[in-house]
Amino acid sequence: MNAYYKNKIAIVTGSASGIGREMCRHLSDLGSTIIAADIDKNNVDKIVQEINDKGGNAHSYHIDISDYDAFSNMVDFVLKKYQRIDFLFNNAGVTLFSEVLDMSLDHWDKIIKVNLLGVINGIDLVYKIMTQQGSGSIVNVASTAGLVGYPSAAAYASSKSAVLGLSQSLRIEAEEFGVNINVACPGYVDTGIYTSGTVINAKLDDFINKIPFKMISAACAAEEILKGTYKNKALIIFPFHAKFLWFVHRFFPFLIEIPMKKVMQQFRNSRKLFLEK
Amino acid sequence: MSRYSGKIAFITGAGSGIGESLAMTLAKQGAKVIVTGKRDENINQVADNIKSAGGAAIAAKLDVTDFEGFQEIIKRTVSEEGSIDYLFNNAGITLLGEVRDMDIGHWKKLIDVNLMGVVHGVSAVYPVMVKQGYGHIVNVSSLAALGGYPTATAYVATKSAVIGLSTSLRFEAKYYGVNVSVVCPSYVNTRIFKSGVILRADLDKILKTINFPFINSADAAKSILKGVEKNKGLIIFPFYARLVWWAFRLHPNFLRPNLVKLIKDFRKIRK
Repeated sequence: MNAYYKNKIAIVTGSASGIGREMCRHLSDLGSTIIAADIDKNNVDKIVQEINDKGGNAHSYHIDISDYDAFSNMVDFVLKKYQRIDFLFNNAGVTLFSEVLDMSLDHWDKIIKVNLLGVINGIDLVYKIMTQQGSGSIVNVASTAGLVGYPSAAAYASSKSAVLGLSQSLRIEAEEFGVNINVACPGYVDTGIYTSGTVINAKLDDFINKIPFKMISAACAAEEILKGTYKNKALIIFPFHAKFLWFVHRFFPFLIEIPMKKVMQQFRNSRKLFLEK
Repeated sequence: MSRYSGKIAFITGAGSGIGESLAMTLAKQGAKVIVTGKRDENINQVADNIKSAGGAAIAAKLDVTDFEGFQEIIKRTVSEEGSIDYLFNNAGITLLGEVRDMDIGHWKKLIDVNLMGVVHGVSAVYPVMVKQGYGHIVNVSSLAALGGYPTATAYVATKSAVIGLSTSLRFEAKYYGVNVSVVCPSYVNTRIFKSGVILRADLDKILKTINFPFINSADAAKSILKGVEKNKGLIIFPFYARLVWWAFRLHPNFLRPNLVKLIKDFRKIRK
């Protein structure tokens, strides 16, 4: 795997924190040049500084991935400087926990814009470049929620399901051009995605800490994604609890109701408390 | 007395195809159908056909990408009819072509109709049904979304989104007495391909490469309602489609050869 990422040009969205940041670190350690993109200017500059201080080669790009022109400028910059793109990690994403009942259209728009359109912008801009190169990998970070659904996070699950379906279809188209399309479906990962996300009429701590699964670290998640990309796995599902949920969903769909009901119950308890205040 | 007698069924994309068949079938069974669609001639024709057969129908012009318009019609329906028992988020469009031939506008168009159209319906109607304490939302997705479909990537993206939305909402809605189902048909003989976008290929040549049988929209409507009556979360038809779904579940690679054949056949006829 070490040679696989050496001297490669990798764009990573959502680089300022969490899985993205760990992927940048890891990729850089393995010898990749990193174009680190994020909407959080301070923290993306920080990680780029850290990488460059260690002797790596990283550029920071402050963009909102749902802004097509901004994304396009970034891709142009990469091509001008390096004449190729080897990896696009469409990793940036946001969460929203809410009953659908409490959501406004703006809430739906936001999730779909960032989690789906952001990925599509990346694909539209980079895929054709890679097909012409005859090489490259686009790795989309979806979620286990995209595989099995997530009551109390319907917009999130919807956007992630879209990324999943998109990836599975594009993968087959891309093969002839030597381009790999992979989609990662992480389960619960210990990152700031929850605290920086939106929670409507409930308190995050009331339910996120009650999940019956152990969260893995962002570093572990990054490792899994890079490993899966290297092996060109169509679906990169981790950790064990994610694989387990997917298995149950596929073979014992009636059993999936148990965790689903529990998740919804915990959210509703929090919502009840919140609205009573 | 049918279970649909006196019930109010709101259908999007009811001017033709599956929507039209749903409207006709439900009206025959005593439901009052709100026939909505983009084209006046079509929805008026469907409503007239229903009324001449002795059924009850109202035609209402609706572009599902217009949320305010959607809300208005729902408000009017609730005030005039008292309730909404069924919402069929059926309106949808296709795009056939390779991603390398698409531009961002293509993606956005599909998201607008196939995903946001459904979001608009849910946002406008779900609160009404929660207030009522009953109701059934039926979202039309596609078998293609269950395992992928090269040459229809954007379509699959939006239809997959509908599945994720429906699956999640189903668990939320049960508490309020509202049911949610998602429909995954295989090939249905409707105008959806003719009126859709096709990039760098001829439709008739594409259709020649499809080895699976098309069912007609009347049978599709029947299958949908069968699933709705059983309150199934996932309604897949026809029978071979269920086999395809099993294959995808057993191992995602089982149907790889079929998917690869799809893109290979398309590339032979791509202009």
